[in-house]
Amino acid sequence: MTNMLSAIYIEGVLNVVMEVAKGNYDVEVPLTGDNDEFDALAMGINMMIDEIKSRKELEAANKEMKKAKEQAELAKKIKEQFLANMSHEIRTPMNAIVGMTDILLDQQLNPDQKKCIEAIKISADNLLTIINEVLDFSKIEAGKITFEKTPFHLEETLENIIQTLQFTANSKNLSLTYSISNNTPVLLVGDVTKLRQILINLASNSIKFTESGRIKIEIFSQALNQDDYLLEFSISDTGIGIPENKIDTIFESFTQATNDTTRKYGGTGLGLTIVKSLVELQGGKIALQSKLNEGTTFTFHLPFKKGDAIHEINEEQKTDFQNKLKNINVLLVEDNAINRFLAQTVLNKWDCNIHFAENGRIAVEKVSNEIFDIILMDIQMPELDGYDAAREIRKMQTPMTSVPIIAMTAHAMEGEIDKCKSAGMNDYISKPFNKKMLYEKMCNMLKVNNIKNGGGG
Amino acid sequence: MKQTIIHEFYVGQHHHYLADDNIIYANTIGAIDDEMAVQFKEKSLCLYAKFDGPIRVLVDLNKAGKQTTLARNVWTDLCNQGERPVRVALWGLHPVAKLLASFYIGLSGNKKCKFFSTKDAAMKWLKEKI
Repeated sequence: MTNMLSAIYIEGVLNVVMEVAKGNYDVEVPLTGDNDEFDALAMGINMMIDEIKSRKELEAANKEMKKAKEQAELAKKIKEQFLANMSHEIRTPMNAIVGMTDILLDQQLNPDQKKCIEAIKISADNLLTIINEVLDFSKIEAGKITFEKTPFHLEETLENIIQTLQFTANSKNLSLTYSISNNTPVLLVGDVTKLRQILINLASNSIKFTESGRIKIEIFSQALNQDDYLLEFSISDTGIGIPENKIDTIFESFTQATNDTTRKYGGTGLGLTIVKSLVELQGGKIALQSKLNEGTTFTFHLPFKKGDAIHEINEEQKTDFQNKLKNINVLLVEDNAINRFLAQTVLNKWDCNIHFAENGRIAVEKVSNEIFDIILMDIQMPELDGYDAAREIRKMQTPMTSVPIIAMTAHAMEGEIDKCKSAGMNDYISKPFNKKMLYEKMCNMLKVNNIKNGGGG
Repeated sequence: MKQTIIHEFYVGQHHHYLADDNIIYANTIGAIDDEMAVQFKEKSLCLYAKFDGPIRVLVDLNKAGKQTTLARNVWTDLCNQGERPVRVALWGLHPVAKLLASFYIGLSGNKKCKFFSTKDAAMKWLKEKI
């Protein structure tokens, strides 16, 4: 190539490089076809342009993916928020229904009235089970379920479960029994709430699908070492059984043995999915054996630690709460009139002095002028919500700054406890609340803070 | 010495064949775009499947043209099909061949690929006992 041709060629190369610098990758250095150094240079530049173009395309694709991921995350957040709101919206009236029913059942009723109220109670409990199943399923799906490790009496837990299910079993003339093998430790350490949930779910399924005969819960244990035990729980019934071709799919979401099952027995089809997840997430396994028209046996294994003397539950702590709340000054912060009335009825039974605040703003004003032993704080309220009200109380420069606050909320989603605690509240109870649980929580709070009967209101 | 072709395939003008010396001869003529690259991969894998033992490839780059990023990646993929490809010799007399070989060798990142400026040198290396 002459010097002049070389100069023209180099100018051509320079033009291509400048186009690339401007972001135009659809350019090429022309080849002479001589296969010489100039062609090699041109080919090299062209292939590098291709490389840059591919990388730019990859970058653009990554950007799109990132955007799609962000959108998916946002959608997930919106879904979680929706679930939290739905949970709150459903639980608020449910709290009133369940609570009022309990109050009515404690009163003098004629047999017909009692029958009606009991029917409402059963329906409300069933509805609450369905709501909880949907919420649990969402939590499991989102990987947000957590497990606690607390000491518990296995036998007491079983007694309690039998007591819960006895009414339904009796109404169908079914025998409901349990047995625990002798070598099982009295005290175990694990998540008793989840264990209860698993056992109640399986046993109530057995009751539901058994027309006559018995339901038996049997517990066997195997010591793995000095501290660790593997417990086998077996829940057997003499019920309708599960068709062989449905056994493999019975644990799948929204699945029931037959379409007829849904029509005849109801249910969400989520119960066994939740049970399986709860067992497996704790390192256990679940299986079932069933014969059509003869019965079904669910067996699951879960590891537990043996509880020791330090873990021993103080009997005194558990009982004799009755007089401990007498004359304490409770500030009940609740915007919903029905819920206010419900909580008032319960607190009245414990002889508490009840003071009301219809929202967080009123509560803060009252706390700055009066003295209370404990505050029961709703969360979602107009003017000032429960979180902000708690924060303002904790900022106060008076002794009331350390008043125990228990959040009482229909928000039942995971993370709510942390949210309440980070706002300065001491404890949390979800609505519809369990009277015994509220009682225990209030007593524990007052004992810890040692300010029982701190003054008038 | 006359060669006997045992298996062969074409993609456009590009001719690849397995000869009786158990070496795959890859004669690349002109450019290779993305579509051709995909065909190359499929047909090369079929060719690999037609015989047992180590794979040795001689790539003639003397008439080779521009190759897209995907095409270059396909070459790398074919070199990295497990343990079987043991040696890939690229050869060419002129600077363009050397440049193309540099791109392949740079991409493959292993010592299975080597560039030679003569066919004899390439064949000698390919036939060496490993």
